Amino acid sequence: MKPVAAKTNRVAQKVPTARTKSEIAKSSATRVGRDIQSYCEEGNEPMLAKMLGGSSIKDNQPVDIVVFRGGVKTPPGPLGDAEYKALLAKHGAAYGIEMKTIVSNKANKLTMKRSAMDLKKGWEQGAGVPVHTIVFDDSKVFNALGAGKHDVSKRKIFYRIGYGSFRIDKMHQVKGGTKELKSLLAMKADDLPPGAK
Amino acid sequence: MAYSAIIGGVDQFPLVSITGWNDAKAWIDTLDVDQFESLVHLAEYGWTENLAELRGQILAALKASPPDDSTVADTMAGLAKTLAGKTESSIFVSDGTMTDDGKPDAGWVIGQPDDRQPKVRSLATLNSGTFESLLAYPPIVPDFDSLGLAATISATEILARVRRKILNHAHGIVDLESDLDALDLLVAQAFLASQVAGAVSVFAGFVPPEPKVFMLKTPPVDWWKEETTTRFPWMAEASRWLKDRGVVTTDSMAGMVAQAEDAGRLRWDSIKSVADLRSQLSDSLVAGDTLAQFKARIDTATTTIRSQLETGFLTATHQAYIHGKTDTLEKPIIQKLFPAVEYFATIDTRVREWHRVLDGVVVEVGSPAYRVIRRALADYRCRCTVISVQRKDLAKHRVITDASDLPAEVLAHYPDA
Repeated sequence: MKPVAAKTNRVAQKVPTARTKSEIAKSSATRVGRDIQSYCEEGNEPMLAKMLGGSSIKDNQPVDIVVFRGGVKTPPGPLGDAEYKALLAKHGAAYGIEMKTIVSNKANKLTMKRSAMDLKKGWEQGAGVPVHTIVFDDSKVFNALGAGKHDVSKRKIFYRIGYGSFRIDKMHQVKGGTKELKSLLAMKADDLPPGAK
Repeated sequence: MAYSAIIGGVDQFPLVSITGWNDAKAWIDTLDVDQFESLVHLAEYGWTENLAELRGQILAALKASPPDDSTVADTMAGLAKTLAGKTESSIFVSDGTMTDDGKPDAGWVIGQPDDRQPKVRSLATLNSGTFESLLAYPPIVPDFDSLGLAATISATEILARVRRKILNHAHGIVDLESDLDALDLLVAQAFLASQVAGAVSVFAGFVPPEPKVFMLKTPPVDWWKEETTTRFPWMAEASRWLKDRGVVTTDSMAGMVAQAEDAGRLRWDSIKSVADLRSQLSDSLVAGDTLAQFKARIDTATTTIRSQLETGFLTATHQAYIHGKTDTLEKPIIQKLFPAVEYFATIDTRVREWHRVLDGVVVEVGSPAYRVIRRALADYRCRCTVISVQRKDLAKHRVITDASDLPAEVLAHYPDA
């Protein structure tokens, strides 16, 4: 995927050296530039947090979104480290969400390093609730109508309890919107549909 | 965390959340483009090369123009640390997705799948171990609201008082009374149920087997079970622990047997008192008495075994406390942070000699020496406790793992250790 140049770029993109080209080429990981990053940060994460009644987190925490117990509402915008910890200690977590946004039609697999999985496991043990993975497949949404113009009607949402490295097409596709997503989150693992567990 | 840094096309390092990275980029936007070109390039295109130069620019930027947001500073310092010594050519930012590499899925973890509901932790744990847990993992706060006592006492209030209790080394009934009325009532009721059952067993002529530890007969009463389960979840937990324990030490059993032997004189009175007590306890549960009301009932019901009950109550309270504490300390996640405990005895004229010599001894949690410590803590009317030792402080102590390294007086008392 070639990143679309953002309007605010202050330097011209370099031509990579042969070695850099080789290194990047051998990696299967998706590279994301400023435009994609901004798209995810400004659009998807707050949107999902709002859908679920949770809060996105600014710091390098093991989960991206936390839904606090008791339907606790937090101020708009991502939570800082101190706010997040205080709320977690006070209310506890109902769900921890790992969120991924796919913007490249080549990317069809989630990847997670063991150390990141260990951090999530630690979070689960501390919070006493599981982490869930929710994927927004926006490969047909992002810039669908031209640079900076997105067609959200083409969005696909995938869900699976847990976290790790997995092919997205094996995950459960959520077709019932927020209502189904919330019911999946609340469901016991044994009751989840195939692909969601 | 949403973003990773891929170095050399292979090594993946967790970077920061999406919003966290955007904050970092906002800071980078304020930097001079000529001076910090590699860093600006990374922010704008998601990749750059010459890692040594990038690291130098990050460190220089942090020094020249420290970010206001500590998260940004931490993220960038972490990135600089990751880059140290790297000889690869490139770094790029990845969102944790990848194209299909044809390899099998590396792994998926479903953690705590059936553990959605808040755990109702044992009363003993609430009384002690939670304090440790709070220090290490604030999220391990029991869901007090779900226990139906939210209106009586808040979680924060309980934990603050438990903490004070621990710090003061106060395990007596007086402290409990002044601290946790609601909790206290439940402990008292649970204990009395257990104690009554124990008394019945003793007076029924139970003969203790050899050698050191004796099992009490299963209490033949469960008349309180229904009521406590439905009305007081904590009490059910406390009762369960006390009831399941079913183990008394030599000293404890000797005392109970001596009382049983004395039953020729006390037998009728005691049994009558026990029956009265059972009746009063049952009434108290049904009425939902406060501790003061409950004590008033006891006062009018019986005085014959009151001292025995009080002593037993102190022992049971302390052992519940120790049970909760050690139970928590033995959890792998806690043990990782607090791998050892230091023994604290109450140094006065009443302390047992083999407890006195253990004062200050540090043992590894889960080791043979630790098991001996736990036996000492379970001694009848023991007032000792253990304090967890953080991993970073281990070097300051001589940590004992082998039971044979414990003081001779201790080994003499537990020869099978």
